[in-house]
Amino acid sequence: MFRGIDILPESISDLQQRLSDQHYVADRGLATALFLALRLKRPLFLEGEAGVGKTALAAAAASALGTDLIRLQCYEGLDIGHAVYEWDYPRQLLELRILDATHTLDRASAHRELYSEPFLIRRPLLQAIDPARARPAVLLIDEIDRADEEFEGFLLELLAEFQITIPELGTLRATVPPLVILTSNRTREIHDALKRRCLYQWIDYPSFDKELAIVRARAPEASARLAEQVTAMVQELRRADLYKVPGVSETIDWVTALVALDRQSLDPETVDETLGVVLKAREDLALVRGRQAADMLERATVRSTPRA
Amino acid sequence: MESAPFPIVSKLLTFGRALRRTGVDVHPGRLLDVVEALGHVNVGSRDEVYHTCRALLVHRHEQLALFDRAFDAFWRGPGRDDGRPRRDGTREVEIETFALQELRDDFTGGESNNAGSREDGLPTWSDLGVLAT
Repeated sequence: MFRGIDILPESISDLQQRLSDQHYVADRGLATALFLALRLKRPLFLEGEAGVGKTALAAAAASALGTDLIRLQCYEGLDIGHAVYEWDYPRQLLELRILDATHTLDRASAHRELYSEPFLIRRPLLQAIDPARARPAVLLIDEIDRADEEFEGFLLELLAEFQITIPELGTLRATVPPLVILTSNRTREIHDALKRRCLYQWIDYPSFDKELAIVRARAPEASARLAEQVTAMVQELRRADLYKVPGVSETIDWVTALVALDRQSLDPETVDETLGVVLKAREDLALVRGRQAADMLERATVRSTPRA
Repeated sequence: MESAPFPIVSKLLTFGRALRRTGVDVHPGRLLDVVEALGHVNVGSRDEVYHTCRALLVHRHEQLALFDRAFDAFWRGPGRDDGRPRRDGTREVEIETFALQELRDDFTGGESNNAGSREDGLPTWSDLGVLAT
């Protein structure tokens, strides 16, 4: 069990409820995997298309557990200097000039001083394993599929030991290891060695009911009819052959935009005017806007109309 | 591993073998993780057992459907199984059926299974020692 999280969820239902209090709708499978990640102290590996709520889960989990979220966004070329730590070179140089000017420069002590904690820039991974941390953080390693494979190897080591060696300072080891959540959009396969260390969870686009629940939770000011229509409409859009399929956050953005425009329901004109909120690629807009959007709206409206 | 042999371990090993035959690469060490994980969930709930096994034994999206089929067949209650090998795509998969009730008994100290003397050649506790090393 995690020391420091004194409000560790008692059961899967308890965790599910706490996530729901953070307006995150987690199904049983996801809640079970997260619950076990906490109990077994294993990383949670979330895979799925962009926009299904992988990153949002990490944020909701941190709030639900009353702890910090530390996020490492991965990208091609991500290195130790940006992921773990870096020496603050300009500050070291400045300090060196001061020492020089005040004639207090003694080589051994200068080296000791310049490579001490005040000159250390702590990047996300170091922040997460900081021995001074009393509560375990939630460490989100976002879009690991974008990082290079060498970085994956480094991460595998880090996740086994939760320690980092800085040559000038020694080895820093987490007093309380973080809850690690990794996400991947599957732009490439992640090594099985890394995945095997984790609890695996695939997150799909939500069903209509689930997405409606998310929309109602995140945009409570929208009318029931608007929420239902927009949700059904996005579900229709996901069936179309799009270049960039809208995620759940697009659904929420669309509803929120329509509320700001004071709309109570969707009509073909409103769809055409505001479709840009939900379709981000120009090709997709050109494809859907007009005739196809009107057809979709018709199907969506039938679907969202409560059966009398 | 000093505890008394748990029939559940033998069942999980069999389940792991069934999964391997369907093409899901199951490392024996992961089955021990499942045993540990099951201690944290309600093993009386099929749903919780399912999600626990799935989160630990599957780590590829493509394998989820295979896993679902194997789990379904494996943990199905008695009476629904015709005892014949099942067909899974091109492979023939023999899946042994155990009732969830037995799993529950293992944890609640109910009637124990004769895990050490199976006649069907299923892996038993003594085999586990070999696998765990």
